[in-house]
Formats: sequence, C-alpha cells, structure tokens
Amino acid sequence: MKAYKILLFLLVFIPSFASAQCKPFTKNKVLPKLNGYVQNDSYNSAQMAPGEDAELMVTFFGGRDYRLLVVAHPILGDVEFTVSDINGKQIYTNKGAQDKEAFEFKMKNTQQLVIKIKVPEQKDAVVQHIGCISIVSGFKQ
Amino acid sequence: MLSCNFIGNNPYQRTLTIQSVQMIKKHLSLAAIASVCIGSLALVACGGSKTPAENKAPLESGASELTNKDEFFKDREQALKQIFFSIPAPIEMADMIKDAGFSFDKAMLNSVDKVAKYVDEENRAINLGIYAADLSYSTVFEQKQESVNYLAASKTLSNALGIDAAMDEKFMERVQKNQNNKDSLLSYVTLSYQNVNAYLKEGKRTDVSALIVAGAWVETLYLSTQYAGKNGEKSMKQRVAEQTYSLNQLVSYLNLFATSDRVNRMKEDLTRLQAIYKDVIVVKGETSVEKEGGVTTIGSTETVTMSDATLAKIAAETVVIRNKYIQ
Repeated sequence: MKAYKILLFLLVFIPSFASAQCKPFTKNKVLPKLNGYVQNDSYNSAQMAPGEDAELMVTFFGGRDYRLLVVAHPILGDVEFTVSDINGKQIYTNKGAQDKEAFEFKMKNTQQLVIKIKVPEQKDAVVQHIGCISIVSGFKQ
Repeated sequence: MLSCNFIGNNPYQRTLTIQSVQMIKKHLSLAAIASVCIGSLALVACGGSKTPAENKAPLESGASELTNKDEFFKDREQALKQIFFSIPAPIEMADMIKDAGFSFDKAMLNSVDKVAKYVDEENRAINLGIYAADLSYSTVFEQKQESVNYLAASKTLSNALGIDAAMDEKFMERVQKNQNNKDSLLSYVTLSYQNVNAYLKEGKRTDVSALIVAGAWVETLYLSTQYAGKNGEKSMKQRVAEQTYSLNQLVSYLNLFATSDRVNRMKEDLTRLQAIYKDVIVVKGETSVEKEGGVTTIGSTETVTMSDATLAKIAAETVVIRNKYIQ
C-alpha cells in the first residue's frame, strides 16, 4: 500500500517538478549580475512567449541605492523594459542603453515604481519558443 | 539509466498524465501504476521526441519550444499576475533597523522551539515567512548562532511543506561552512527565501507562496514597530508609515486568490490593518529624475506621514495579528 502511494505521488507530482524551469536560469544567469547588491525581493521569474508583456510594481525606499535587473533568455530577442512612476511618467528605458539588463539608481524618497517588460513578436519564426525572464532587484548595504 | 534532463513544462505530456491518473484510480493494479509511472518518468525525463530546437535549447538554458499554445495562454493574465509580485524582502527592513542604529533583541523573535507546533499547511507557510523575517533580522545583526537556528527551523517547515529541495543538505552544509562570512551568510539567507518561493510558484502553489510572503511582511512590520517612535525616534516611524505602499500591494495580491479560504483569512487580518493605515497621510507629488556623473537619482515631492497615535494603533494591531499565527 505504501509503494502504491509513493508511485501515485510520483505520477501526480513529477510534471509539476518538471515545470520548474526558470529557477536554474535565475540562479546561474541572473543573480550573479546583482554584483554586490543584496537581493530584496522574492522570486519574479517566468517563461514568456513572443509578443507578451508583464508588469511589476515595486516599492523602493528613500536614501538607498538599487540595482534592478531584467534578464531574458536570448531566444526571446531584445526584451524591452521600462521603469515609470505610478502616474505613468517614464523614468528609464533600456532602449539604446549600454547595459540593456541593468539599471542602477538612487532613491531620494520612498516611492512605488512600475517595471514593464515587453517581449518582441517573432512573426517570421516557423517554430515559436518560450524563454525565461527574471526581474530581480537588490539594495546596496 | 536516465541521463536526460527534465524537459519541463510540456502541457501535452501533462494532459496525458492526468488522464492516466483518472484511469488508474478506477481500474489498474500496482503493476500497471508502475508501468505508467516509468512511462511518465521517461517522457518527462527525456522529453519524448525532442525537436532540433529543443536540443539546441536544453532545460538549463531556460527556453523551450511553445508546443501547446492553448494550454500556455490559458488564464495567462492571472498566472502572470500571481508570479510577478514584489514587496520588499524582510532583509531590507532588517537592514534599515540596523542602519537606524538599533541593536539586536532576541526576545522579540518567534522562538524556534515552536516549530513542531505548526502542523497544517496554512500555519506552516505563515510561520515559515515569520521565521524568514527573524532569520533575516538575525543575519543582518550578525548573530551567527541565531541565524543557523532560524535557518534550521525554516528548513523544517519547508520540508513539511514538501519543498525539501529549497534548502537541501548540501545547502545547509554550505551555510555551516560559511557562517563566519557575513556576506556569504546574507546571500544564503536571500537565496533560501527565493528558493522557497521559486519552488512554490513553479510548482503552481502560488497561494502558499503568498502566505509565506504575508507572514514575512507581518513579522517585519512587527519588528519595525517595536523600534519605531521610541524616545522620539523618527526614521523607523517613517519606514512603518511607508509600509502603507507594501500593505496595499499585498492585499491586492491576496485578492488574486479569492477562492482560497486560508488566503482570505490572512486578507481579513490585513484588511483590519489597512483600515488603520488609512490614517497615514500620503500627499501625492511629482517625480523627478536627475543624472549626474552617470548616476541616476529618482526623487519625488510625495510625502508620507503619520501621528504617534496612528503608529500606536498599527503596532497594537500588528501584535494581535502576529500572536494569532505564532501561537
């Protein structure tokens, strides 16, 4: 009976474990880029498809220095990310930036900022791929 | 020997597996289950018949072919909202307590001796969040033994929640070896918090992750209110007032799990706190961006203030909520 339960458990849960795809990507490809900053959020990584977008609202505290990373799997192409205030005023875009994955800034006052990411379309692609995108922020101690 | 990588989120394989489970429940013997299991393992482990694109982009690289659009895009907006959510991790508030010049106070923490008392998933998740906040606080204040104790308690609860891999034996050994290195210990603490949430979110248990984050936030607020405003202290009082942003975000996030009774219970508690936070005065302002010497500075004329009476009410309600969960 015990073996029965174990086998049934394996059968039901293996597909869930198998869906855990972005954790190694985040750990190996993203977190090292925090570069001396202490990570200050939980886990914001997911597989996204061409043409998709997503947003994340983050509170940053006044008097502190931050490094924000938006790292996408290369298969997704040039993922655009912007940072705006809650009224929609754009503060930063990675378009034309030297480092397209990182934005470092100081906060004078505590404020909520909105990070928007946009995965480019792949209209001509015969086979479409999904890839991981991670949004990670860290503060300087 | 299975040497292939787990191919990951192939919905077609999952559909087959779910259908198999239903069939098995009705008819099959142990031997039949074993065969299906092995079949399922082989499918998942080896990825069935891989396309050339998949061979070029193995699991480790974080990409795969989009094989079933209907499944992938089903409830997509809701799924992305449940994944992409952020309130500051407890380590940042702990760092701000230290920055404000306060000292460590072990008496404020939830004792690790209570870990065995948390027997259902709801209490385990919330107290895992509470221990995560206490762990962050202990680590920031360089309390090595306390840090190891709280990490062990967190491991006990994460194992009980079925996410053993978030803090496995190797991870714990590395922590033990590096406990004298403050920076290493800090990175292990943040990694453990991330791992727990990663395993839950990717295992489609986002409601459990939400309870952990909520528990961590409540404990962080509790610790902050124990320092705020004491003897005219201003900086932590200001930080507690600014938690109005995180609280509103957290309640909105919990609203995404409207069918979960356990999440709704936490939401009810936080809604009471939110009612008190309405007395915090937020005066909207303009955002400014300055760039000097390659450094971007973001400012705002927005102000957040509260009275001592409001702080006292917030502190009292936070104690009530915390006590309910740590019993």
